[in-house]
Amino acid sequence: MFGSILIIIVIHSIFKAISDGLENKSISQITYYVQYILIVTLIMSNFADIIALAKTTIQNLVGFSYSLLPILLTLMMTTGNIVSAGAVQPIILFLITFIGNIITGLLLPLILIGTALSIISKVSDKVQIDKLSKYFKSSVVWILGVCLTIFVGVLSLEGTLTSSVDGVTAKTAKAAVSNFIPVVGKILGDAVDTVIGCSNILKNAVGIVGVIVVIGICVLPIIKLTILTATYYIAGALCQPIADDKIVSLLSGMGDTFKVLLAMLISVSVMLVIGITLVVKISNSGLMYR
Amino acid sequence: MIENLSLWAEQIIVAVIIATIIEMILPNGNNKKYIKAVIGVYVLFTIISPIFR
Repeated sequence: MFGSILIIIVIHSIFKAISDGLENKSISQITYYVQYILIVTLIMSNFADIIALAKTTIQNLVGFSYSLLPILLTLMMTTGNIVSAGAVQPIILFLITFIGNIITGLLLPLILIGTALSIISKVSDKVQIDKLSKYFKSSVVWILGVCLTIFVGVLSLEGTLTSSVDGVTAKTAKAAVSNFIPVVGKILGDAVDTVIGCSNILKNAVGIVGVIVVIGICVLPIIKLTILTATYYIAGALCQPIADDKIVSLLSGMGDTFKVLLAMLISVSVMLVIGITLVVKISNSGLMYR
Repeated sequence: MIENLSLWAEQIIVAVIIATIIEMILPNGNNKKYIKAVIGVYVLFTIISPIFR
């Protein structure tokens, strides 16, 4: 694909040198439009695939967190973190749904609009609207940053507040069992301790598996997008000596678009990894009070 | 909201394409710079049209 873009650009530069000799400006302009249409067609054919890939990956990640988090939170309850689980579950599920919807419903269309504007703004010399597309891309990055900050902030705040309460609850359960059940109370008290410890190990294992699956879902699209971003920038750098400034800025603009998509994917997966590890961590710190 | 936004972007794109075509077929005359200014104002108004609605 990049070979064909390069070939188109080289052919155009030869045509341009010839038509400049003809002293007819409109011919060189028309060759520019033809070259532009060809390059944009090539780019668009793979851009649609990439957008669909990013969308399905984000939906898969959110769907996976729907199935993972209830299990994790149930295991959290068996370790005695009832208050944490009760407080964290609605908030974490709400936030993940909310952020997933914002990304697929708002940010992806904004990226598409920004890309369309950046492509159309390079058609003509006089009418330039690149700043508008830059505005769209940077607002996408801002919204993403705000979402991520809210997610991590709310989750860590909730966790620290409730885990100490849970530590006390687990301790009370153990004390109640060992004091109020006659004869075997002491042994049963130790058993309660063992049960809590064992389900803690189980919960940590489930959390680790969750993190591995999240990374497994998003690693291939992330690698693909990284390679694409790098190749668009390299193509822009390679074309600069022979091509028009507008073509170079088109290629680097597409690189910017892929970079924003990459940022989106990475932030969703980092958000989920942080969410899962925080849930595991919260209940572990609850256990430290025993 | 997204529908309105994409409609707006569509209008901008159409405006830019029309401006480019007009610019291409414009004869090299005395009035060229005025016509270009008018085209610029047209694109500008398309961009800020949501404010007036």
